[in-house]
Amino acid sequence: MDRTQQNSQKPVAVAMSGGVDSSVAALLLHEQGQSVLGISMQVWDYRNNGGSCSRATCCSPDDFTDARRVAGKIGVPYYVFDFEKVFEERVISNFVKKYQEGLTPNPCVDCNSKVKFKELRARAYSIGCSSVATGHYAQIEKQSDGYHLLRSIDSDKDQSYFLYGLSQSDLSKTLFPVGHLTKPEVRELARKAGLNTASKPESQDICFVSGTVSEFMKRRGVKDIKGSILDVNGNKIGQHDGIHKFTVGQRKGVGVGGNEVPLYVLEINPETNSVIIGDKKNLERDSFFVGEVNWLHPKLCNIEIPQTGIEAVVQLRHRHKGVKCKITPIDSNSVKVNFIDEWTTVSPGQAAVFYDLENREVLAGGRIRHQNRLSLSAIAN
Amino acid sequence: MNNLNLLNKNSINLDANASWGTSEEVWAELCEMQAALGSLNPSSIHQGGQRSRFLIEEARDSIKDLLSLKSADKLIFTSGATESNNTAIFSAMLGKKIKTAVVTSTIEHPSILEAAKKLALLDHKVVFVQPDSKGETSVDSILTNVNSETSILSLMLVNNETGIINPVSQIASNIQQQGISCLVHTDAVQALGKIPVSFMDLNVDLMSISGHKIGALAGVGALIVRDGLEIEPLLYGGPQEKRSRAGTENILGIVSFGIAAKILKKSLKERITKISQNREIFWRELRNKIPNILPNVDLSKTSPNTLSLFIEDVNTSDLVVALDLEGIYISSGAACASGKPGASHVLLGMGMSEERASQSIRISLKDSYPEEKLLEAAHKIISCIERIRG
Repeated sequence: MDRTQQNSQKPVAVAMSGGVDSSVAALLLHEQGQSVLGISMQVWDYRNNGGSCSRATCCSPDDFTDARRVAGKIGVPYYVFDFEKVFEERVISNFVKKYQEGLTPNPCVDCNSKVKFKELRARAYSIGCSSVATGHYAQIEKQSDGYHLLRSIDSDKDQSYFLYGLSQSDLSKTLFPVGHLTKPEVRELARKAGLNTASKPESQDICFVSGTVSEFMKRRGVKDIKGSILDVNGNKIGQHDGIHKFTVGQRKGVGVGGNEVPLYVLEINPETNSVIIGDKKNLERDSFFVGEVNWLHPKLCNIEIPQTGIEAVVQLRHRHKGVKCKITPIDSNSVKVNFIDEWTTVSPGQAAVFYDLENREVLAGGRIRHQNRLSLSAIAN
Repeated sequence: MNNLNLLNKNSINLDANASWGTSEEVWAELCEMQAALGSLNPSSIHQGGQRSRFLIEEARDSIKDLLSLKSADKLIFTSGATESNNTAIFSAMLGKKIKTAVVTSTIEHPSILEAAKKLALLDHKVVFVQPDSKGETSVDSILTNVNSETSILSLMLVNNETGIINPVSQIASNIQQQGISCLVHTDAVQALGKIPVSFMDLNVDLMSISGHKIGALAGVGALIVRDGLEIEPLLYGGPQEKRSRAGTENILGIVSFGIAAKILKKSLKERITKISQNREIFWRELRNKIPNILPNVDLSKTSPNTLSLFIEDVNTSDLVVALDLEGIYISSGAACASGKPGASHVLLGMGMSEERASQSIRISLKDSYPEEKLLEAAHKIISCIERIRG
């Protein structure tokens, strides 16, 4: 709170998606006496790019209407800023490219680190704001050594996984006013304040993808390129119509039937345009590699990680509870991760976020690299 | 009523072309008339209805007087200039099979552009004439596109974003002299209150005006129809407005329009002088203190209250917000339905690049601010520009 009070003369820009969390974020700051303004980011032209304005997404014109009403109810100014171009360059085109490379991208991470806490922040400064607040379920704690990013107290809703890309400087100018609340508490506050978003359903999907990822890729002009589905020995057992339709670890929709045991996507190889499937046990691994690592923790961001490695908990997808691991540095921005007690599915392209051993605080995070061991041997065969 | 906090009493409205704001005199007179404004149906036979009818006709006379209408010219009250413009465009085309061309410019108000585009979709021929890069539309550029096939020409008298005054009367006279039977419509919304407007002198057939641009309430406008011309209504229903516009009249809005017109009639000369002086003070200050700031058009050819300015290296949609937080209201272009600021379609319609258009603002002044208040606003603009330029 001391940061808020420090900057009380300058307004805080609250990124308002039109959902209940950011609505309550704005409400709470306003109630604390902070000067507040709401900003919605227009990142996608729903009218001209297909896609519905359905309530399952955020940032549609209907969501702006909701956000505008909340701002009016609270009594704070509200603006819509155009981020379409930068969002296209830094989020959407990367999303498309990663799928074509056989990876499963995480656009929310890119949006946070490359758009929301970068471009939005820059524009908030230029209009005279001191900091940016969002409705993320995560907490920032200032300690003597710097800023710490902690999980939300609501473990079901925790979104710290999507925020590992922030820097110490970002954290120093960021507020997460609902991070110390549970979702039911947030809804209750909204209801008490009479906010129109109080019972609005959650947004679940990727905001710019209406329908399936396949349909989105098709609209983007990504052609379905047929390729082989192989078993672990490299034998062709089926055909797929585009590697972008698969994620490592995926079970449903693999398209090869008649097996006694369920089959999983084990690897995706963009070079041979092939997908390898097999038993769950083939997904098992001891270690994997992570690149584009951002060391967020104040004790780790400025030092070299010891060659002996550090122990941590790694979370490999949203809502994954995390497993114990050892991180050893390879170079300045990539690491090798060894599972310690138990393993979990590793989907290349997704974020790997490292927490302290109490599984409470973010240390670092990065992108899971291609781990194609089977396909290399399959090709060799 | 929390949202009343949003109204900042000390704010300065430099966005008068978007809305003049309901003038204090209009409010005062409306409050005085409160008892009479019972909104009983003006079509009713009883005395309550008669009272409403009387007020409407008084207002109509005040506006006709302001615009130098002949008594036989018709003034049809509408819900605003958008309805007036749509009525003009569609009325000219309804029931006509031979003459099917509409001529207009690329920088008209959306209520003309979108109506014309709709007609184009319905297979009518529509010509959009582009002004030159200074936003000026020459008489010849219009006349070469008007012929015996042309059903209606619609050209705004004053452009809402650049303030450029179009040679409407000259064009209308030429069309008449050449014996072309095409209707001439002008959207005079932005002219009213800023330059003298005489329907007779303009020599047009149809003219649209709006109440809230001259200090009346929003939600009322009018379409002026030359004596002898019959128009097809846009709305069908009751026989109101001499069967030209069905629907119970917006009594409160119409009365406010009449009051604003009466005030304007008395004060127009003075108002024009004051807004011209205000613009001069304002522009001198900005020009002297801000490097790389340029008018987008020739200011000697504009309405005296409007400044369309290019400010190099300033994303003006951010500037609009930064200034709003300082209590200064300006605009950078048309807002789309979602509220997303977009580059001005007028500047783009003049052939300006999107980049330059996104670095342009519109300042449109009122007569009501004293010099020190204007200078205070100018200084806030200067400091916000400095901050954005970094």
